[in-house]
Amino acid sequence: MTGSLSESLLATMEKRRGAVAPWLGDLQGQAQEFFKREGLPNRRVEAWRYSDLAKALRDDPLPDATPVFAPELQQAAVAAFVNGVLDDKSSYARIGAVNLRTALGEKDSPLAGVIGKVYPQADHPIVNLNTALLEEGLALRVPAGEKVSLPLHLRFLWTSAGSDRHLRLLIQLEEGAELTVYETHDGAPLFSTVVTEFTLGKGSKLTHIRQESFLAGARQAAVTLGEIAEEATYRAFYFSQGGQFARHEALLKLAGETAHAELDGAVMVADQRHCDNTTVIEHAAPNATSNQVFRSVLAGSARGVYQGCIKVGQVAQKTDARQLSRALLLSHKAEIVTKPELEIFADDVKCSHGATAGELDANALFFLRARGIPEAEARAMLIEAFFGEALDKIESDVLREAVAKSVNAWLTTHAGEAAHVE
Amino acid sequence: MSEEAAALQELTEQKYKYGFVSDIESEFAPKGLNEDVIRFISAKKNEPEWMLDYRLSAYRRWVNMEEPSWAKLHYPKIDFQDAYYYAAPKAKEGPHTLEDVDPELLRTYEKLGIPLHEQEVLAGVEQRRVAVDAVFDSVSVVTTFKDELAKVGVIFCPISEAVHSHPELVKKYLGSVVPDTDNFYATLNAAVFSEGSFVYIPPGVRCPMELSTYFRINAAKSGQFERTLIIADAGSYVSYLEGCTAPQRDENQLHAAVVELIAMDDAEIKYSTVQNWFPGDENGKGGIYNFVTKRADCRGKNSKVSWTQVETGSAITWKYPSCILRGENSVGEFYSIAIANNYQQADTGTKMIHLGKNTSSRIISKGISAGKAQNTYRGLVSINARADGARNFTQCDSLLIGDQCGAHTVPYIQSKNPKAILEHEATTSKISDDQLFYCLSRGIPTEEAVSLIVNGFCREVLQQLPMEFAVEAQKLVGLSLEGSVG
Amino acid sequence: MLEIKDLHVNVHGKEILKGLNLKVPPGEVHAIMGPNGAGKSTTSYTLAGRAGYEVTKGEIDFFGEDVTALAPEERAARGIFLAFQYPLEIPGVSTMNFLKTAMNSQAKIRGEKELNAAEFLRAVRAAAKELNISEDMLKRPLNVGFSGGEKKRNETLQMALLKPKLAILDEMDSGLDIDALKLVAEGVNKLRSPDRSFLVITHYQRLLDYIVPDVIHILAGGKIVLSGDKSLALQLEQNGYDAVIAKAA
Repeated sequence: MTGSLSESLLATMEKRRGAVAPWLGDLQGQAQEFFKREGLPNRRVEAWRYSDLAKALRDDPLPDATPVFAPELQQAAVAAFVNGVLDDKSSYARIGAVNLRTALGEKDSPLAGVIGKVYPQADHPIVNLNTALLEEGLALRVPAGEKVSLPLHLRFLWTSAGSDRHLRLLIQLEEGAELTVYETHDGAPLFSTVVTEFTLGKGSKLTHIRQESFLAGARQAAVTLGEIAEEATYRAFYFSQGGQFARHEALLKLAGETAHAELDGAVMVADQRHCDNTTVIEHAAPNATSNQVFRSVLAGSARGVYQGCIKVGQVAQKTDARQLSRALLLSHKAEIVTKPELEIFADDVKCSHGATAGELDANALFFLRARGIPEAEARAMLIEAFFGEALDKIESDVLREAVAKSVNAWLTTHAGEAAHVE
Repeated sequence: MSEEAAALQELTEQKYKYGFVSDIESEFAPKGLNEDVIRFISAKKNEPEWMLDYRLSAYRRWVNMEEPSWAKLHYPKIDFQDAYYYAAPKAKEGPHTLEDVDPELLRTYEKLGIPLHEQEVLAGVEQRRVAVDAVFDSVSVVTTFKDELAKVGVIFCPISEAVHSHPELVKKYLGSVVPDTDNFYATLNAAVFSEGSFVYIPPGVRCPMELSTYFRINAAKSGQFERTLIIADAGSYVSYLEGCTAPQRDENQLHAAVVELIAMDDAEIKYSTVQNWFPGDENGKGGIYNFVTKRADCRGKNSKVSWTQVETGSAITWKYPSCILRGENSVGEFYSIAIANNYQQADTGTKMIHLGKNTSSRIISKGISAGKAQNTYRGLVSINARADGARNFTQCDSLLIGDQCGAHTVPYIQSKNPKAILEHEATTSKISDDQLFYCLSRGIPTEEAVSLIVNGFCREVLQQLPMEFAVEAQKLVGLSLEGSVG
Repeated sequence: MLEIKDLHVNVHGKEILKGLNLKVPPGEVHAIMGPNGAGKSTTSYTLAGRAGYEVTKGEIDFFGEDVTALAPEERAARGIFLAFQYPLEIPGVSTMNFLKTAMNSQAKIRGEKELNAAEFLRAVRAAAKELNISEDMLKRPLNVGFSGGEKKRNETLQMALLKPKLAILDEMDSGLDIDALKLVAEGVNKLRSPDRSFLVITHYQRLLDYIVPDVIHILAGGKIVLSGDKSLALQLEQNGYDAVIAKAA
C-alpha cells in the first residue's frame, strides 16, 4: 500500500519539478531524491516513533461530518486557501502579501534567495516532501520599522477531501517590523503539508496564533521554520484539536543575542484523534531566552504527543530555556507521550524542563465542590482554567475571543467526559 | 613548572589508582568468537548440555543482530573478533578455599582494598561484615562467608557453581527477566558469559550481611561478561554491592554484563554499584567499553527494588538499570550519579514500567560533565492502562564543569492511565563562581571546593548507599573530577 | 441544627473518629480543641464530605436530615461551609469568577433565583470592602500568590457571600500574624447571628480570645472527652492537654 502511495507521490513530484518556476527544479530534484531514499516518515524513525505518518496515510480516512469554518476575521488581511488553492479574491494584498506561485514565476524572482534558505532542514522528510510537491502559497515581506496593524488571517478551508495539497508560506520581517498572523485550519484534508518559513530581523516581533479545528478525518503534517535575529521575538500560540493525523513542528533557531521565543500550546483531543506537537529550539547565540508551556487534555481514545528539544550550542552562554508539559487524561483509553529533551554544550546556562501527567487536582475539585459547585461543572471549570492560562496571554481581544470560541466549543462537547472517569 | 601545575599533574597521574597489572599466569580461549570458543567456555565450566544449548542458541541469534546506535555515544566500530572471551588465572580444579588461592591474587585484592579473609573482617568490631565473591577476569577466585550464609538458607556462590549445585533455580530464573533475545549485548552475554554471582534468599529471611561481588579485569585484550542473578523470595531482604576496576591500558576493553533481579511478594532488593572501570587517560586513550543490561522484575505484591549507582569509570557507559513493576503496590527506585570527565561518554538512565496497580517509582539522577566529556540521561517511564494509582517522580539534574563538555537529557514519558500521576523535573546548572569564591574565601582549595559542591549536588543519591560504600563513593567523586577546574 | 451521633470515620483504612457525639444549636459558637492527631481535621473534612473520609458508623444530622451520603456541593447548598486551613490555589480561575459560580450553583441547587451581574457585583464589592480586599485581588487567580492573611480573608469573604448556616473554621489562625488574625476574627464576628452557628476547630487558645465560643469541646482519640464553657480553654492554656484529658478520663 505504501508502495503505491509512494509511487504516486513520486510520479506527482516528477510532474511538479520545475513546473511553478524552472529555477526551482534543482531544489525540487534534491528533495525528490531524499523522498526516493527515505520514503514517508514512519515509526522506525526516532522523531516519528509516536506519529507514524506512513501508517496514517495507509489507513482508510475516517468519515466526516460537514465542516464548520471559523469565521473570517473582521479588520484583517485575509488569505484563504480553499482546498489548497489560494483564493485570489481574498484581501491579502492589503498588507503587501503576494501569491507565492506568481511571485516564484517572475523573472529573477526575489524569493530565490528566501525559499529553502530559512533554518534549512536538508534531511527533514516533510520539508522535502513539501518542496518537491510545491504548488501554492503566500509570501510577505514587512519592510524595516513597519508595524502592520491588520492581522494576517490565513484560512485553510477543506470543503471536501479532494486531492493532496502542499502549501508554502514565506514571511520576512525586517528590522523592527511587527506582524500578527492568525492561522485557522478547518475541515479535513485527505493529506496536506504546510511549511512556513519565517525570518525575524533585528528587534522585530512576530505573533503567531495557530488554530487547528480539523474534522476527525484530517491528515496534515505542518512545519514552521524560523530564524530569529538579535532582540527579535517570536510569540506563538498553538491550539489544536488533532485529527486522524495532525502534527505540527516548530523548528526555531535563536540566531542573535537576546532573541526570544515564547510558545504556549493547548491541545484538546478526543475520540480516536491523534495530535503531535514537536518543537526544536536551537540556542545559537548568547543571552537568548525561550519558554514553552504545552497543555494537553486527552479524552476518548485519543493520543497526544509532545516532543520538545532544547539545543544549546557552545557559544550560547547565558541561555535561559524553559519547557513545561502538563497533561490531563480523561479516560483509560487516552494516552499521552512526552519526550522533553535537553542537549547542552555550554556551561553557563539555565535550562529546565518539567512534565506532569495525571487527572484533575483532587484537592481543587473538592474545594470547588465544598463551595457548592456540582462535580461536572467543577471539572469543566478546572479544564477551562487550565487552557485559560494560555488564552489569557493573547494580547489582542479580538483574537483571544476568536480562539476562546473554538476552545469553548470543544469543552462544551467534551468536558463532561471528565466526570465519567472510572 | 609552577608548584600548582606540578601538584595538578601529580594528582592527574595518580588519579586512577587501580590501574596496575597483576603478574598472573593465565590461560585463554582462542582469540575471537565462534561456536568452538563457546564450546570451549562451556567445557571449561564443565557445564551440562542444556547450558551449552542455551549459549549456542544465543550465539546463533547474535550473529544476525546489529549493534544499537541510538545512544549519544561515538566510538570506533568494535572488532568483536579481536578479543579473548575467556581468560582465567591458572589454578587447581574445583571449588576454592582461601588456602588454594595464588598469593599474587590475594595481594591484588589487598591492593584493591577488598577483604577476602573472613576472620580479619570479624576482628574489626564496628565494621559491618560483607560477604565477597571475587571475580578475576572470567572466573571466581573465592567467595567468603558461604557457610555462614548457608546456615540461614542463603545461597551465595559463583553462577558457574550454581549451574551445578542449583540447576533447578538457574533453569527457572536465568533469562526470565532479560531474555537472550533482549538486545545485542545481552544476547552476546548469554552466549559467552563466564562468571558472576548467584544469590537466592529464601522466604522470610533477612540476609544477615551485605553481599558483594568485586569484578576485576586483568588480562590484556580480554572482555569480561559477567552474569548476575538475584532472587529474593517472599518476604525476604537483601542488600547487594557491586564494585569493579581494571588496569590502565591503551586499548579499549569490552565489558558486557547482564544482571537479573527477581523480587517476590513483600521482598526487597537493594542493589548498589560503584563502577570504577578504567576510564581512559586524559587524552581519551584506552578505557573500558561498558555495555550493561540490568533489569529487575518486581513480580510480587509490595515488592521493592532499589538501584543505586555511582558511575565514575569506563570510556563508554551504556547502562539502564530498570524495573518492571508487575506486582500490586510494588516499588522501583533508581538513584544515580554519573560522572564523565576528560573524553568519557556516558549514556545511562533507567526504565520504570508500571504494570500493576498502585505501583510507584522514583528516579533521582545526577549527571556531572567535565573536560570534553558527554553525559546523557536517557529514561523511560511508562504507565499501563491497568496501572491505576501508579505514581512516578523523576528528577534529573545536570552539572557542567567547563565549556567543552555536554549534558543531555532524553526522557520518554508515557501514560495511558488517568488515575496515574507523573511528575518529571530536570535542570541544568554549573558550579557558580560565587559558590567557589565563598569556599575559597573560607580557605578551602579549589579542588576540594569542587569536590564539596559536587558531593552536595549528589547528596540525595549518596545517602542511598550503604555506609562503607558512601564514604568510598564520596572520595571517588572528588577524585574523578580532579584537574577539571583550572 | 447540627447533631453528630456516634460518628466513626476511617481514613486510609484506619479509624480516626471513634464515636464522636456533638450537638450545636442555632446561633451558638462551639470550639473543638485537641492535641495533634486527635481527629480535628478529620472532623471538618468529614462534615464537608471529602472523598476518602469514610463514615463507617453514625450520623451527621443537619436540620434533621442525615447528610453523610450527600456530595460536598449538596452539603454546601444546604448551608455547610468549611473554611480551609490551607485554602487552595487555583491558577487560571479568577476569584470573581469562582465566587459567582459558587453562589449561582448553590442557588440553583436550592431552587432559588440566580443573582444578576449587577446584584452580584454589588454584593461582592460591599463584602470585599468590609474585609479590606482590593478589586485587584478579586481579579487575580484564586489564592495564587496570596499571602497567608489574604487567603484567610478570602475565605471569610466567601463565607460572607455564601451565607452558610454552619461555618466550620479549620485552624483559622494558622499562618496568620496577630494583625491579620484580628482582621479575620472581626470579619467572622460580624457574621455571627441567631440563625448561624460556628464550629471553630483549633489547637491553640489564642484564636478563642478573638472569636469567643459558647461551648468548648475537647477532642482526643477520636471522641469528645470533655465539654465546658470558655474557662476550659484557660485550663488548657495553664495545664496542657495531657493533664486536662487525664483528669477527664
